[in-house]
Amino acid sequence: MKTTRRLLLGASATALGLPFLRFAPSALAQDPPKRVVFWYTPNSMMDARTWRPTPGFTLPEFLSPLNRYKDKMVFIDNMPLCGRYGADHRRGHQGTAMVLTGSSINSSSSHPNYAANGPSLDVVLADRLGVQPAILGAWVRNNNGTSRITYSGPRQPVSPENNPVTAFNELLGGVMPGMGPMTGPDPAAERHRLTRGRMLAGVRESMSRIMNTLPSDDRRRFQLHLDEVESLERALQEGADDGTFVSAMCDPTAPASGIDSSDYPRLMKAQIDVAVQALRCGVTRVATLQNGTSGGGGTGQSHPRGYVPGLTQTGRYTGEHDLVHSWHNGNRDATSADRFTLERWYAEHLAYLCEQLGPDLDHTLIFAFKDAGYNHEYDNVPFMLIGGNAGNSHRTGRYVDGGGRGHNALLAAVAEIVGVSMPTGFGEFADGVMSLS
Amino acid sequence: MDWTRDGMGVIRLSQQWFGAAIALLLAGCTGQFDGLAESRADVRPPPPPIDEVPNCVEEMVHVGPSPLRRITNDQYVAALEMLVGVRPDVSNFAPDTENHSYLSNNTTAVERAQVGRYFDTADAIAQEALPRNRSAWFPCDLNSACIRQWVTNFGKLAFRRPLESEEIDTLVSIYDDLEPEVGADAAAEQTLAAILSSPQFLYVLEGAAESEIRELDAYAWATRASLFLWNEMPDRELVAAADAGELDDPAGRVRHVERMLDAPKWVDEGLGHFFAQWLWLDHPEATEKDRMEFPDFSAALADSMRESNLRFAQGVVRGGSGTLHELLTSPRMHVDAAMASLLNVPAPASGFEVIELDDRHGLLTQPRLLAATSKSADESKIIRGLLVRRQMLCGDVDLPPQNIPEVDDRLAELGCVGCHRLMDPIGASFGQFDAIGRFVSEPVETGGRIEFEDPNERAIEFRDVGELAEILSTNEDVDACFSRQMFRFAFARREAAADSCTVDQLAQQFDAMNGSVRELAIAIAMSDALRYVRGTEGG
Repeated sequence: MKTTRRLLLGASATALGLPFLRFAPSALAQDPPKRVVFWYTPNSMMDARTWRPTPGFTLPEFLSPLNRYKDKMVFIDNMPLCGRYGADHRRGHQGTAMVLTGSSINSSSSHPNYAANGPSLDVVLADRLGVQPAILGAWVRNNNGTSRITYSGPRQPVSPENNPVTAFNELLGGVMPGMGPMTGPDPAAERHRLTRGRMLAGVRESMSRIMNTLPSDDRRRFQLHLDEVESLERALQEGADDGTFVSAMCDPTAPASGIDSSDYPRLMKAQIDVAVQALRCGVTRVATLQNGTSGGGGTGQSHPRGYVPGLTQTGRYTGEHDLVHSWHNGNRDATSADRFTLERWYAEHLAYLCEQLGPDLDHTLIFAFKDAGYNHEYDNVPFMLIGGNAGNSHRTGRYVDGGGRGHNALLAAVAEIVGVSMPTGFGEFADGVMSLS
Repeated sequence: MDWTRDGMGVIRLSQQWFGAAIALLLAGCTGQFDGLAESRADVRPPPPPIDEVPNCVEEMVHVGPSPLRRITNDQYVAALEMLVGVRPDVSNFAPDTENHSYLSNNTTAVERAQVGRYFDTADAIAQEALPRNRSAWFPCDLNSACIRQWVTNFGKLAFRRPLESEEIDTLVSIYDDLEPEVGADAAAEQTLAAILSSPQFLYVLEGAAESEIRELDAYAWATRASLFLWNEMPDRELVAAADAGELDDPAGRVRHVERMLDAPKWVDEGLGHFFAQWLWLDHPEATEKDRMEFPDFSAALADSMRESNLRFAQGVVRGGSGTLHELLTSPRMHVDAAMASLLNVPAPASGFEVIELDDRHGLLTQPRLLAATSKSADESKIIRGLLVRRQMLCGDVDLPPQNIPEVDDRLAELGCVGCHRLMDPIGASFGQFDAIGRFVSEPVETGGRIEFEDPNERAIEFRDVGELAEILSTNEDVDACFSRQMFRFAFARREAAADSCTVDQLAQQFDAMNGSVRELAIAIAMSDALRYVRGTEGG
């Protein structure tokens, strides 16, 4: 079977603009669609008494960098990860794989260790919205279930892009400053569409032939490769969704190159900048920012202490994970100050994200979470929603007690806020939609 | 192994080994030597289940299933260098996935973003490579017929086997369709880019159907052997040997195995990757150290430590006895200026120099390994003990059922002893080496013991890490484990019960050859496990 040139030219003749992105006039709609940022920070939280806002919705001191956004925030807890399943499968940082997937984990020692048995909300939402999610990481190490929050399918972890320059080039490389429809076909883009399209078709043809010769288990993995080839072909032929919203503030600026791969704070900020621009310029509506990796020792250690200003470094401190546990372990006098300094430091970065979103914050829901509540428990993981409340999609400025319902209902609520309906809920342990109105 | 070389340089089994092999065959195990069992592939009742230890009495091939693997990023780079003479930048590629410590890409599907990166990289490489190779590749006028000839020749090297006519048609049609639109050169570029993005290039396709055991053809055999011994795809000579039928008999295969082992690439690449993966040298802990605790630690020092570690291991095989015993006990250390400063010894005039240090005892005391098995500020007896337990004793230790805050003091009360007694008492003997592998002369407890999984069995006690190295180097379980580790590296998978005939025999052979790493590599390369493939089961 051959893909005919006529077909190729037919498809390309209808399109204009750059290979993966098209600015259509409708993009300048007055009421922009909702976007979402998934914000992950590693290791468990202080206990709920310490972080839960007090009556009158006063934030604890270590979250004070977020004070100016508190009217746009919702605090939620008492929602066990995956409901009963999470309670029965409390294992260190395996909540990492559960938290965005709402799915059970592959708990055998087979690889990848502790990967989730279902796709994560960021991938599913992007799929439903017809965009590619921007999955970005800062200092994400290792390659197993306890270090991956994003999954494209059962036991298919997605590695976040850890390099902001690469992330920028892939997401925003083709976006011109300013916006508005382009005035005519771009010859280079035309040519790219033609040549890449033909090459993709050839590779797809080879893959389809091979597919039938493979044992079923191999075929399952191979199929995902083929799916992606087909989706690249489609993206090339169709261009981006006509409904893409391009903010008037779209003005992509590349991150500084040469950031040391272990310079955690600069990486975090650079990735926030990339995510904000990608949302603002309409190349995606779903961004995930994974900051660091939970756990310690052989399952991943967090950044060296030199990067967090103000830590007093008491005790046998070998990274965030040990510090967090030292505090859990009752060693509070010695480590309290550091524990709060660390969490406050993350809150400052979250506030930076809000600040960068600026007026777009009302249309951009930030879902902030960790992989565990207090000391590896999965019952009381603290969740925060910030922004995204344009059109009164949910009621903000309050604390919500989840009443022990599995957190899948919250994931579905996040989807609904972003405009994707999931009436029966989300994930393997779907349990309807939590009401946040 | 008693391989002997005749006057022609051809390796033959000695009489003594021949007798042993016959005996083994009578005893029923699959045997390793094709000449003795050329017809077994035809005797094929349905294979026993993979999770069942086979009855080695039957005259059957027993191998475990090989999941489809995608080439690793290093193999991809080496292949492009060989094929087109351009070194691609793969720094943004998704990391390779491991299968029991060894890079394999055979447990999960390729990441979505990586698919696009393969295409982008192939496109960029094609644009760079075509002008450079144009006259060599296209001795004819660049047209459809010329491209067809080139696809046939070049494709064989890239796909590691002759192309089927359908495959050639698919590729040539890319050229034919694009040439009128973008010109001959750009069309040829896209044809090249398609080859370099094709599954036949990116995957090790071995053709076994579900649960089927089949003998690999000469090309697929060459790919496996070359990935194992050189960590790269077969070179022109090996593909030519397959063309000429030289790999169809055991003597020819041994000759090429020897050739690969004699080439520097075996020790440099094949063994280098094996040692690095076996010993966890590339775990992130090796390079990420606490800046306040170790202000002088740098990426450059981490690189020197890695190179020093590999030079040590490679030096034993290349210039020393080539035995596991020496790997585990030698006091030698390869030192450059950065290492000299770390170890507080005089720096060499240039490059690396070999010194001997009383406080070093083989692989386990190489600074890179010690750093890789530490945390960022502190050494870890748990991780170091785990390395010995998993990688040298092949013991299974599962990840902890966590909720365990301060592991050091509360093991007993938290009921963790069942596993930790298998690791910590071993790792404790490394206490004199800090998290970046320096010898710290403070008096610390260095005694330790190796406990057995059966708690009633009496533990082996030792005074310090030197004694531990000595014990390991003379223990036959360690020999057997080493041969299993190399098996896992060779096939990018853990041995299944169905492999136990091969695995047991490899251990015996390794022992009989006094722990020679080279002879073990030959035995694996000549084994049934390399020559036969079993398709994965449904699931």
